[in-house]
Amino acid sequence: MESQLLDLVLPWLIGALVVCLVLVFVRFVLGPTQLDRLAAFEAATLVLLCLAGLVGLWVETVWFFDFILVLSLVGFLSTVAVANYIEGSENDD
Amino acid sequence: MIDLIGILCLSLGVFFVFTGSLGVSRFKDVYLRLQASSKSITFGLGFLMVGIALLVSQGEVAAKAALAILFQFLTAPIAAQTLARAALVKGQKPLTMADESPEG
Repeated sequence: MESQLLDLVLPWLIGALVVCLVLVFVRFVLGPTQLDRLAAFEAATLVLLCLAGLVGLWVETVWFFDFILVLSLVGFLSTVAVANYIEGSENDD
Repeated sequence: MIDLIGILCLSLGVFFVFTGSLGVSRFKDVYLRLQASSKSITFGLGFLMVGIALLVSQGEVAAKAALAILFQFLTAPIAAQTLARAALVKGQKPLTMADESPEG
């Protein structure tokens, strides 16, 4: 019973997360400064983590949690590195 | 019953992620967008991980979900603070604060 409910609900949740990814990508394209684009990139990383979890639940595998851990680590490090780079750079945009 | 609670957690998490993405897309300022990203989306991610751990119901998956939640809740404020400090140093004024000199 509940498994059928999960099969019914899960495509809608994945579709909603794809819509979220599109919204974040709109900010990534429009963003006036580099920092707007970086904030949108970090948000896109977080939404992609959620999407990876739901897709892993959809195809019934377990290995996606390794992907989630590694992607959260890489997203955090790249965000901090690029933010420090922009803070130290000379040009004002 | 546990599956039902898991599905409820998944729906709540997707709701919070959606509101956060809407905030990232629609807010007017870098700082407001950072707040939407680092609070709402991280909270939704926590709900999603709890829901997935309840639905899969294996010990290894629950441990990895707890690790993902812990790591994300530790690193999201640091990333947001670094970004906000970079924005303040680069001279973007917050909407509601008139004169604040960037420090540290």
